[in-house]
Amino acid sequence: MSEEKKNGETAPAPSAEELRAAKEAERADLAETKRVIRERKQEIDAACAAKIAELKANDGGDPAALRAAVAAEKKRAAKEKRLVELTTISKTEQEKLAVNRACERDGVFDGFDDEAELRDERRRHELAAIEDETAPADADALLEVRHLKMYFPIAKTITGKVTQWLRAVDDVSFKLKAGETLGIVGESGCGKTTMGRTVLKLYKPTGGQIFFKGEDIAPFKPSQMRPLRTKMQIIFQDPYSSLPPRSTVGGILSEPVLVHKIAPKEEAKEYVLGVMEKCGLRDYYYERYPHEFSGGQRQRICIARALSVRPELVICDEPVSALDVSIQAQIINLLKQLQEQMGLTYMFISHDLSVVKHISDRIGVMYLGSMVEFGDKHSIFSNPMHPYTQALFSAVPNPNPDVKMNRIVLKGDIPSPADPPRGCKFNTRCPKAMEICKHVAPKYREYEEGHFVACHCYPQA
Amino acid sequence: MSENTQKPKSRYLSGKEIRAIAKENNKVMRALEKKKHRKAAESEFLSQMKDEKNILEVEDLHSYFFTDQGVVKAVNGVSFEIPQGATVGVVGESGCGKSVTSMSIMRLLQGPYGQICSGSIRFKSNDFKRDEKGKPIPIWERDEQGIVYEPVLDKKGVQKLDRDGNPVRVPKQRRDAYGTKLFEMEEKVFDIAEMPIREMYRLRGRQIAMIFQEPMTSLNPVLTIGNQLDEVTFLHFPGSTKEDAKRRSIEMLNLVGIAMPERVYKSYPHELSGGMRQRVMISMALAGDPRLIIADEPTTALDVTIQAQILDLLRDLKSRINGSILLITHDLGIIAEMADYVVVMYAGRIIEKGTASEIFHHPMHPYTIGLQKSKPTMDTEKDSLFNIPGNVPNPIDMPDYCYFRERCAGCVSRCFGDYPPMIQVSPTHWVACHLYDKENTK
Repeated sequence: MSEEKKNGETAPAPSAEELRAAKEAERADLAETKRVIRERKQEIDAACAAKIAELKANDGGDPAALRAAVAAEKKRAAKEKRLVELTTISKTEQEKLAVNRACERDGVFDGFDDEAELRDERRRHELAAIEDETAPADADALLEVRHLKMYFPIAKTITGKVTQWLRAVDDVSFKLKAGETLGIVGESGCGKTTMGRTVLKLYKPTGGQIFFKGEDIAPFKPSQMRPLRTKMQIIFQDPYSSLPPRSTVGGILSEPVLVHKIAPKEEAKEYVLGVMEKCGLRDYYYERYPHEFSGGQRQRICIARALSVRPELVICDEPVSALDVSIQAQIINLLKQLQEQMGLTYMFISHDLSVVKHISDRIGVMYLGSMVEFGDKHSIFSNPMHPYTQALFSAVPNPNPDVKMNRIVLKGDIPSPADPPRGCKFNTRCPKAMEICKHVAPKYREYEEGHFVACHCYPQA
Repeated sequence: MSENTQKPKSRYLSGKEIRAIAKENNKVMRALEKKKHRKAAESEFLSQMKDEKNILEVEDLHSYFFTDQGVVKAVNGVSFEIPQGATVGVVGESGCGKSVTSMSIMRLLQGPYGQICSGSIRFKSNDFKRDEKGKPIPIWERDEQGIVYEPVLDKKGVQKLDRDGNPVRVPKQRRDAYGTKLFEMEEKVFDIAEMPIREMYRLRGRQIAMIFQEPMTSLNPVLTIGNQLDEVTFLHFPGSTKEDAKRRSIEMLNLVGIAMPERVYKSYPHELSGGMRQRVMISMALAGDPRLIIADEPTTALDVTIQAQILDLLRDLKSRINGSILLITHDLGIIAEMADYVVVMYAGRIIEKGTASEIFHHPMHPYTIGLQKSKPTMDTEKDSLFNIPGNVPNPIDMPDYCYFRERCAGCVSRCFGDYPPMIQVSPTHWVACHLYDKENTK
């Protein structure tokens, strides 16, 4: 205490003039950096224009090929310009980051600049995304998601510039093999549903790539997505609001069949009856309306609707949470049985861990828009590494009155995704939080084969 | 399985039939409404407990809903008891009558369609002792000289003087730990089913409190939390001032583990998260100092981690206030953790009741067994879940045989006869199933 005081006395507070000078220097530095970036961009633009002129001069007479080549060149130039923006860092910023790195190494966080760290983290994520962009898709995986981002604007200036983003899904990557089930767990508001919908392109992703059967569908237009819609389908959470009340079960089920021309018009009814039988619906339900059914039967209708176009990937968005326990078991068994019959791949989103454990091969745990742990079911359940996963697993009530569990009860509530905490997003509730967690976001790394964790409790480098 | 092979018979009623049903219903409803709103002397609804250890005894309760399609027997002959200081869990699927049971205990059934038709609900209440004028008798602070008097202060904190210039002094009333004035109490046993509805104000909130499932829809969005909490104190503790009420409310918020009670006191429900709102609901239930708390699916709308917090809180509070809890839920896991006694309901009737370990280790009714097997658990692994086929029968025309017969795997010939009676298999364990009928096994 006394030492600190002495230090405070020996280093007098900077005067107003000094502060002004420092600010001036910083501003000049920033302007200089901006100028360098502008010059580099102009160079790239000039090179790009020259290349295009050259291409036009050597025109082989094929206008389509020429257009494609010009577009590719422009794209390359744009990417190069973005890279310049990301890699050219002002001197003051570099100094700040150097201080941060020293803090991180020593574990003393005096003078740590959270703002600079956040900017650096975003830069690093974008660079990694650009680096991975050209890598070919995994041939084994039916679905591969890389650095997926889905941001929603929540505040705009009068000119329409977005001042605040809600980062619902922030840099999520995973692979899903054909015939497997991926379970996604997390609390409400952690972005599970948004991720499921973004994978289906029901939202236009802000960034990242979605490889479906080796093809990146992220930049696809709605018209290009149309043929793919038969390959990927979704089952919604609430069977009461996701069925049109004014059409019959037959109408609901035959519409996708007719739209996508799965079966000719004359045979559509027969085909639909076949699908209904598979899903455990009687044939006389064909003429009935959704309101005549109970929740379990309605969910069967939803499943039949999704399966009527013979999909390969089905996203199940909390399909059993609105149902009773005895009906839940029926639906889960049906989903499993259909997977075996038709070789389906599921992405099963749920907040009920025991259900996810029962149905999944792989499990991803999400917290505030990021994946905090991902891995094989057995390795996650036998060895949960992230403190959030551990708390989540211990919070599930055990239907055995004699087992006294030592439960990890998390303090507080999940923070607002519009304003997530700095550093590790879980640090406000984490029972193992350290000083570093409040400032630096942990890296998402592979610790065992196929077991990814983002936590400072484990070595970062 | 017969339901699956043949088309079930249509339930569409003609206009004439509906009018006939409505006419019949109107007659019954009017009689019951009249009884509900009658003026009655206290002696009419005073009763006696069967067992002094119990705080609540429900006996052969029938709560019906009179709809134009027919009478829905939502609660059809339910009997159970809650011992002092115990937690009783009621478990069942949606529509099995567990919420209607709790609403019947609070007399909150939506009239005139929902009515308690017969049965009794005996509750041992701790009511104010009243003088001849019907006013509660305060407990005065006493020392060796008798009643302690205290001077009266006006708003500025200056002593009030009477006409002769002597300070005005009034007897000092004893206060509890939260600073609320105390009154003399006496134990009375009320039959809630017989009580006129206006007398229920004496019990609701004060003696029996309720925690609802959806905290957002149960809190008033246009009043602050403080406003709503203070109301409980104003209503149930006569002579409370604004300061008394505020002090008590903040103490209650503290009790449920809210970090900044002063701030929450001033905020509106929409400013709080789901877990906080549920804590506020619990503190509101505690504010009346109740003997029985009815928690109707208190954690269904919450996340797993918040659910763990709330369950911890409830368990901790029960031991602190020495009250009883009636916990209603569909989650067997929560029941196993919280409850001492378990009641399993199916289609408006109790099919099995017993202590928690009896129900979880030796379940007897095929429905209880099926329910436990159909829930995936964290520590076991199964290829496929056990599934109970079919659905709950239509609540309007319930069959006269066992309601579970269509879905049951262990049917015997007796099951095609009457509805099975409750059979006692151990001092605390009861089951309604023909499989355990002694005559049947012979």
